[in-house]
Amino acid sequence: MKHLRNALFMLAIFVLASCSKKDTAVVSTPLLKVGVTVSNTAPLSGPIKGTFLANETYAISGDVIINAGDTLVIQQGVKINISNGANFIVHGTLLSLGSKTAPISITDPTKTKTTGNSSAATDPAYVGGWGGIYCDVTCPLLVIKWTHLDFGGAGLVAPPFTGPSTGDQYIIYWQNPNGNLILEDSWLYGSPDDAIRFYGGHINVMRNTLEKLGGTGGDGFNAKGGTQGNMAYNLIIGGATNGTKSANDGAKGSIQTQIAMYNNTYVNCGFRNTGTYGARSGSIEVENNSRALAYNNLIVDCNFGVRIAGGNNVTAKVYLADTLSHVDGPIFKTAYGHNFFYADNLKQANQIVPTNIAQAVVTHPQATDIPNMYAFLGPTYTFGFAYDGSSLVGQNNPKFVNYTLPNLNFENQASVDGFDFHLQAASPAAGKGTSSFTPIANVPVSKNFGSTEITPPGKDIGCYQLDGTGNQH
Amino acid sequence: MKYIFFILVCLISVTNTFASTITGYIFDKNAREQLVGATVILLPGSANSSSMLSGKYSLNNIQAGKYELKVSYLGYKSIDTTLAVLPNTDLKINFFLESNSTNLSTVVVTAKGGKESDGYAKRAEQRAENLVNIVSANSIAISPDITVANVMARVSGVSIERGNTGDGQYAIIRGMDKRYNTTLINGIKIPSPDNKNRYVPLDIFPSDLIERIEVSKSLTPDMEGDASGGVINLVMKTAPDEFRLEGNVGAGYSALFSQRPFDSFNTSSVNKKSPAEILGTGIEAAISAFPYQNLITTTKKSPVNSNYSLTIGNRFLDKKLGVIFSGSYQNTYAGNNASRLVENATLGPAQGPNAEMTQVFPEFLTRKYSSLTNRLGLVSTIDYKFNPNNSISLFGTYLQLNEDRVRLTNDLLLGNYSYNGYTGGFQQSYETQTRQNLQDIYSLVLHGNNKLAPSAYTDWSLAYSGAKQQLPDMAAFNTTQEISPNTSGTATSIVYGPLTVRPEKREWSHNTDKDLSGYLNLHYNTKIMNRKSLFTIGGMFRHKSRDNYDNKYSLNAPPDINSVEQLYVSIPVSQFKFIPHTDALGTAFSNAGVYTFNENVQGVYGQVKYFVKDGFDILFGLRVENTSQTYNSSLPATIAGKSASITYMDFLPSLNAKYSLSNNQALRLSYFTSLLRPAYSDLVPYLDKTGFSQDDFGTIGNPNLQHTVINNFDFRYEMFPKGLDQFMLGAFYKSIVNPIEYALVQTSYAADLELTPNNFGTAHNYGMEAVFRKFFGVIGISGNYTYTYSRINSTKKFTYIDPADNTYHNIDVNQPRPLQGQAAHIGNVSLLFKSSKSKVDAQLAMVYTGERINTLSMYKDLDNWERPTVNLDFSAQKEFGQHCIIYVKINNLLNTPYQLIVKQTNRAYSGINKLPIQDSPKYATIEKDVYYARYSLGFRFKF
Repeated sequence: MKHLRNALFMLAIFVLASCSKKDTAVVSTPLLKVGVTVSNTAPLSGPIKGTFLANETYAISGDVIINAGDTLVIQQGVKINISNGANFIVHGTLLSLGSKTAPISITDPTKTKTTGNSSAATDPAYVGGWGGIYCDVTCPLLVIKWTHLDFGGAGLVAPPFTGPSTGDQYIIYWQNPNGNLILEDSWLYGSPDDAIRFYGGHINVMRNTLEKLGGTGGDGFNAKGGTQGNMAYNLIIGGATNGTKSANDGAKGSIQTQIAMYNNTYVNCGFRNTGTYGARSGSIEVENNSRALAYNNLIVDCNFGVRIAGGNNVTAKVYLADTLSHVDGPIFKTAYGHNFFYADNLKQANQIVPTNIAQAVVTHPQATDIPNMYAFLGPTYTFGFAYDGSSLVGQNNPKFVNYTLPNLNFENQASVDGFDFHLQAASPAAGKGTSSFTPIANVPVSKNFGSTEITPPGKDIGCYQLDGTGNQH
Repeated sequence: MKYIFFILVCLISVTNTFASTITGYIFDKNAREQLVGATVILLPGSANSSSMLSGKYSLNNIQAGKYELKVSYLGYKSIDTTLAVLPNTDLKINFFLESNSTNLSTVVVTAKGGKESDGYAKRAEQRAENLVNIVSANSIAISPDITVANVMARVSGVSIERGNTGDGQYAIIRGMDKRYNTTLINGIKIPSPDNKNRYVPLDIFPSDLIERIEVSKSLTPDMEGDASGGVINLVMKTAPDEFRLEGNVGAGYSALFSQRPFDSFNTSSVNKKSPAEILGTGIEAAISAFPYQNLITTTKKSPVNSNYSLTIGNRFLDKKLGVIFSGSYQNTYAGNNASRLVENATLGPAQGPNAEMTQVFPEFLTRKYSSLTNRLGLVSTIDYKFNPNNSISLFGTYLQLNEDRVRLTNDLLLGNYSYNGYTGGFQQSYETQTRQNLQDIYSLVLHGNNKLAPSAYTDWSLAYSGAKQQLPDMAAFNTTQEISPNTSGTATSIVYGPLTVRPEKREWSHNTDKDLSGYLNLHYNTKIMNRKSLFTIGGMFRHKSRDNYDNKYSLNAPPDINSVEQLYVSIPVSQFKFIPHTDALGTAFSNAGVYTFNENVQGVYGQVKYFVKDGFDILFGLRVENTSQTYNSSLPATIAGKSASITYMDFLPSLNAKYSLSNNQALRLSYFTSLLRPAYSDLVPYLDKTGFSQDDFGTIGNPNLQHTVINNFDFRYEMFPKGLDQFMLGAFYKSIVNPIEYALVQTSYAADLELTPNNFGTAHNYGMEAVFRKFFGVIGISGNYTYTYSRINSTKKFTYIDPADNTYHNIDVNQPRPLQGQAAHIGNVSLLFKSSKSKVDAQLAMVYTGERINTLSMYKDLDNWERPTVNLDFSAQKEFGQHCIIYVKINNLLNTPYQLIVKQTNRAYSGINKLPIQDSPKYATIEKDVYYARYSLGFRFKF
């Protein structure tokens, strides 16, 4: 009996001890709702505010306008079908709050995604179906989470406010230097030009998947004139030119563009740039007096590696990136390393460290890169000069879970399709990341009104981490 | 006319020969001034003479006897007399000719005479109430110029802005930009065919139609108050007193087209209207609406220019009815070869607060312009004099300037980096641009003079005029190719990639401008304190309506299947598609360039001319002008500035005083306030990228622009010694409140820069000018010189990295500079040869224009300056018999280039970064256009 009692006591303690551990249960929280519910009985156009209710389908047939001071919330699972190339014109606040289980979809329903080879001549992804999300200088906050933005970029037929021009073809246009732009865990599929054009502001652009961006030119994320923030953990495949770019042209004041670009995976980028020959189309581009960090990026079969633009002060369309040391941050000095490169032909291999083709480059080879370009080029190498990279072709296969390398179809495979760009455990990119730098934390962290998480640098190079963190797609 | 006037005979000396001489001077009876070129014929025999520039004539080796002597001069009553010549005598006889003019209708000047002569022009200058320079038709005829704009370059204080044919287009008077000057025809303001501005391109006027050009540099209250630099009044030919027939046939040639062929295109496939105008706005156009035929160019070797003019006039019905008709047609092949380094819009920071920012050049353009211009001018005046107190005239003019232009561009994308030693371009692009520019101006003016009472009279005008410009289907076809140096990197082993087709641009624009205006002036002569006084009051109104249309299309070149590019084969087989499909709408849909503009101006004034004492008179008064403007554009209502209405009223006092120091010397003083109304395009926020050229920035209007008010002070000393000799010295000061200048600014959050008009505080502009003309027998020299100083502050961007802590600074700094377009030094010198005996006139004319700002940069120290130029032109003519003149004109003898520079340490002058067209380590040359000489030969006849 005594033993039984003791046993019960021990059991009780055990149970209590067990109970002291936290549940893993996910408890629902109320969905954010503001103002009135927006009716979906008729196609929308003109000024709107309030809430698109979860899992409902809405049709937009003409530009919808969110006036200054107004808010539009799109709850999870909403499907928005846009016709007539209509746009979101945002003078107020727009929150598109999808979730992993119930993402939001914004698309032109007349267009269908295609898989396999993508041709600039025929793929509907590059034509633009609906317009874009055009945010005015009065827009304080744009939050887009777990949202599919498919087939955006129809040309503006008229400028919606002072700033953009007729014919602009962006998915998101941003011009508030004091506002916050959060784009997280979302998918961007197809655009004729830059997917996002930023002129200033605080940004966190993280854990997204970008496919088929730019028709025959155009960058993925193109930050100009004083924009500051992170571009991290994005998977970018088949971009026309650069995946992520920073430049300070168009700056109004003394604030410089500063972008931390880390743990991105760039695949097959830079092969549809027909407007300008030369060196402005690869993976990462840092130019025109902007500062950037570029660490832990996985760059596979791209036209160029990390380009830090130079300039000779006489003949440059693009001029020198800011490579000086500063006492003010958030980025004290442009820096890069721990980037991983894989090249399937000689042309790519000759540009792992980009050379002066048409435009000057000041990228220095880094010993922390894979391959170790500092060792490969030797201590006497002059940055910008051409070299023979033939021995690097096909070396350092990053071992994706499902994307066989070598793959000589890099100019045509511009979408994820059934491939899986997670790393195998045995990947040479695993564990090679650095956490020696600090991401920029200039946006609020909030479930509804800010960033879900400013994910810190990852151990593994690329957007997917073996421990399940990073890009969640 | 044949009657004996009077003869003055005096015997002075006796020589050893038996032959005698007759010498003397020929004068205008009224003006007591020498007449040049009057003929003296002695009958019987063959002795004859013409008066020289000093008015002197001489007849030598005359045997003793009785002679009939005839003195004649065009526009004057002839003298016919008999005289007896004694042996061995030197006879001195002066003749005073009387003008036979009966036309008294001119308002500005009351002197009689052949109104087209130099002498007339000079007298008119001397008598005018304000500061005037006058160029006579005779000066124009013997000068090397065939358009009014070129003539203007020879007027004191005037510099000229040239168009892409090398012909002058706009006048800058005493450093005041073209916007500060107005152009009148017969005293009536005319609308401009220009799509942006109020000022009229002067190259539309053939000089053959002009009786004289008056440039007024000060205003009187009876003149419209919107001219501060000056008023260019083109006085067209008026009906003569007797039958007159004049003509001109000429041919010419441009040396440019012995260097290269002339390019032309087929204008028959140019659609006059854009698809959106045909289909309706909002309907997408088909690619087939954009034919390729007008992009096909052909070449022509050594084309010949031609020009014709004919003037016929007479008086009927007892000289009461006068009729003149004048027509001119010029067909000119012109062009230039231009080289340009493209300026990058965004620049890197300077390396310190005291270092300079550097303009960088990503591209080098070479362009070949070929323009075929047709100028047609028709002028007709009918006047009827009811009686000495009442007359009426109807004046009509029609001017047309059509230009068919081909511009072939070769655009090299510069790399110029040391790619293993390779310095050169990395991409080569080609553009064929064709355009038609059709401009015309018409004007119909009814003018009357009536005497109401013995000392009161009136004159009035009613005018309806219009101007139009059309640029239908301006088209540009583009291709590009990659240039790859091989890895060993020498320039000899570069490889050109295949040519690919780039997007095609098409644009339609047109504008019309219509004025309805009326002027009424009442004059009253009286005496105040026993001194002659002339009171004038009057008023005017003008209703102006303008519309502007602009529609652009961009035709995308879709890539070939399984490619990202479209390979170029030929223009006809190139494929185009609208991507996005909304591009097929054109831009007219939401374009601020589609607008209507109305302006009503009312003016009233009162002035008094008071003769304080003999040789001292003052003219003073006040003018009030009220302006109301409205415009409405196609901009979306969501954009500020879609429409606006603007009103303002200005009070414009003025005072002109003239004090005669002696018979031929005078002092003039003037003060007046004037205004400048912004041009329509200055106000409408229309982002205009006409020409879609990558080297030029777009322009955008500013509806918040203030109009400019200018206070003007002038002082002039003038002396008219004898004959055609003259000397003037003047000084001027202008304070310009809210001057309007174009500067590069960032109007939106985008990185693009646009040229936009702004007010720049208060500018101060002062200077002096000198004019002289002196004749020594058959040789004359004339010249003028103007010095102008102005200062204005403009806000410039300056970005730098402070080397102390590497901080980046983007600041605005104030930078003083002269007014745009204003050259500090302008000078003209002409050498004239005028032999009445051999009937040869020749002129060698030099124009110097000092350096001046062409375009303002948004950055500190990086304005574009035009280099000083020296232009040299030559002309000569010889008269055969009484009626025929053969002439030759050579323009641009020195092949003076048009050069723009940026005043920065020129890193592109030498070394690995050496760029073309550089000629100094001290400045970077960014543009160099070469026009070559032009020759013309022709003959004129007069009856």
